[in-house]
Amino acid sequence: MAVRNPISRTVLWLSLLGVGILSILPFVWVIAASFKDEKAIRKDGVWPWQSYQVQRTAPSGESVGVTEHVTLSNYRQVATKVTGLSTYYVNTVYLAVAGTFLSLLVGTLAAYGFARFRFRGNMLLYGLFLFTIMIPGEVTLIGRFELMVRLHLLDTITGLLAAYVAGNLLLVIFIMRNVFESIPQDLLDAAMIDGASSWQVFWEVMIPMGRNGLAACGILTFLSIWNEFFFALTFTFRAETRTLPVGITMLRSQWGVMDVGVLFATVLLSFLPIVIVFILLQRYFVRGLSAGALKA
Amino acid sequence: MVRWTCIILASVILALSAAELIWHRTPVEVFRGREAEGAKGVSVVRVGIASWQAGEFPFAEAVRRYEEAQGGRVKVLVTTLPEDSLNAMLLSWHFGRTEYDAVLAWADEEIFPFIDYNRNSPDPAARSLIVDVREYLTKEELASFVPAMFGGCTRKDEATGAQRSYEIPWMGEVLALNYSREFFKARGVKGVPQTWEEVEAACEKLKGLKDESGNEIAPIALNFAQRGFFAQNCYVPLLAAYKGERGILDSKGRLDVSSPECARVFETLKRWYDRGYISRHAFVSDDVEKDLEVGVTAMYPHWQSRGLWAVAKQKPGAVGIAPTPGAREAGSLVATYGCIIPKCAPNPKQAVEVCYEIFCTDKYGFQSGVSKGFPDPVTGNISKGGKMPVLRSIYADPELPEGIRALAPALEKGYCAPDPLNWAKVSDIIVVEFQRYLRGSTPTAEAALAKVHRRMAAEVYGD
Repeated sequence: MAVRNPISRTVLWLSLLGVGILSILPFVWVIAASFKDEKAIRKDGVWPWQSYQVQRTAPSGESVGVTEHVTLSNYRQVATKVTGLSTYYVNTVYLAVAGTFLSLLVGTLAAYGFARFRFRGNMLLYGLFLFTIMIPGEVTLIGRFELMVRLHLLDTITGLLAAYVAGNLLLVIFIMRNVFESIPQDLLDAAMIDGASSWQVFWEVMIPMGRNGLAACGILTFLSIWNEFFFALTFTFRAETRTLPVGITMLRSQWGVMDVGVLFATVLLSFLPIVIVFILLQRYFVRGLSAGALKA
Repeated sequence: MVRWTCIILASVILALSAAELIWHRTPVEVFRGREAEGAKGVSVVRVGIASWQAGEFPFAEAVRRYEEAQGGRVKVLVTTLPEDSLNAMLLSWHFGRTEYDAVLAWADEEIFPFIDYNRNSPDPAARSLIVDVREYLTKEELASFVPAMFGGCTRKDEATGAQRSYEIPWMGEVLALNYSREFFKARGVKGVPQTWEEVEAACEKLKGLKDESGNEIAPIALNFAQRGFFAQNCYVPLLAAYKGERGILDSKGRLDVSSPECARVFETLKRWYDRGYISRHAFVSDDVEKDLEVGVTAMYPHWQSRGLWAVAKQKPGAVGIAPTPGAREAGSLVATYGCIIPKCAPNPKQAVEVCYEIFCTDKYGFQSGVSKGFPDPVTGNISKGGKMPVLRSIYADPELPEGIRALAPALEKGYCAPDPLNWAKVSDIIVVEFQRYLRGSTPTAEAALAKVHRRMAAEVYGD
């Protein structure tokens, strides 16, 4: 709906601008603060035009007061303080990519079955799947832990991957079933008449037609795995199997007090990939969510 | 195309998972350990340390020196742990599985779930997930510790009446009055306040002070946001001083919240707040913790380490550390950090020996690092330190920081937070009810403390 009245349009634009600024300000603040000394941040001086005093060691070994506006020292400290940062990154990227891929692969196959095959207990099974969405993962933590112990999957990337795939599968099934049900039956019939098998229909018709839904599921799954903390903390013990969210909490000093400059630098490094993924796929994300909602 | 990409990707993931599982079932350390034990007589001790401690204490250097001294017979593998891994550890040890032979840096209250595990079991051996270290330390080793350091981890066995201690202390904290000599001098505050009344008088003199940049200096920084810090740094020291030798416990052995002195504590803190003595960061735990370090407060009653860290950040001699008012008569609150050894560890005796040798004595420079600081691996500057050593003999070192030497006598009358298992819950109730009183929702200190008493009885002790 177009707003023609200039005053209404101005008010609307100003309101949207205000909401936009409010949304983006925390991110800009984190980015600006990541280039400041902790002392400056704690004295509310995070913006680049605000200067601050720090003690630096001169070549003579003498400690001298220096005026600075920005510094890269937080990023230098990330490299030294967060030991194993590269391992955490690799683990998180692998888990997010592999977990998203497996969730989509298994979830879409299951959703295809639920949407297009009529079999005894179809709705009951689907209802059971939906019911499990309502149980918070934390409630099942001890059971999952025992399962991990018995299957010798504790403290392994594979165990964590299995937990993530299982946890995100239901969301994929839920969204993709609705997406697949919204695809006209005529298209499937036409493909069948042309001699396509169910397997070919899945790959040649359902997947291309449901790509918006897949992208939405992909982003949601990727985000949830990338940010997941609780299972990663509980199911892993060694530095080799840790993920980025757990690694970031290790920056905390006792009682949760942090070197906030270093924290912001690390947080920036951790959310950049997510922002990039979201920007690349946001078109599909919005479309996919609405596609999934139509037949819900 | 999509189909084949999916098949290839799925195959790669499966192959990687299979490779990881095979690798995990035969980890290289186990091979190394087995081979070493069999061939060279080398044993491996796996030690977990909390992440916040990794940069604060010279673990790597002390372990390296220890291994060298052992001539390669013992290998100590150190892993840093996220601070919140407590529950995972409990679960893992419950299933008889451990990645560590010893875990360091656990606060007193945090180890009690391990101690209380299976506490009602008729089989004494099934009680607790961690070993009683008294069974493994020699008499001489036990006698070498400052006794107060065992206060937080010792429990009486109800069946036998024996005292059991569940951690090997490696570092302590004592409550102190950390203060700025510079700001005291600027406003003519002479000497260190010996009573809380003198603290109040000093606050009045210090009010309105500003630094050279015009930033306001708070007379005193108190943490009203974090439950533990409120209870231990605000409530307990004032209560201890007001009650004197009667101590901070009530007749049931719980933290006293019902005597008239308790109301006096609440009233005093509120009066200071109303008069503007207290740092504006009082409700932001992270910020108030840094107030003394960044020079925006004149006094900070807290652990001595906060004072000693501020010493390192401020001009030489600018920050002083003294016992809290009343500590000479009533003693000081002490907190300890120790090594715990899981019962499921393959060789608890060796784990205890290694922990004592490396982390409690100063043979490998660890206790020096704990108290005096150690060179930062990046800059080479001496940093951190500021913690109380655990062995009596170390206090004879004349090079210990002035603050630590000044507080050593306070350890003799040291006491730990009562009922560590419930300390967090009790602190939570006290700070919440204090805040309600501070903001006027509860009219009087007596009413606020009556609420604390009722809530403690109902929510913590089930009276």
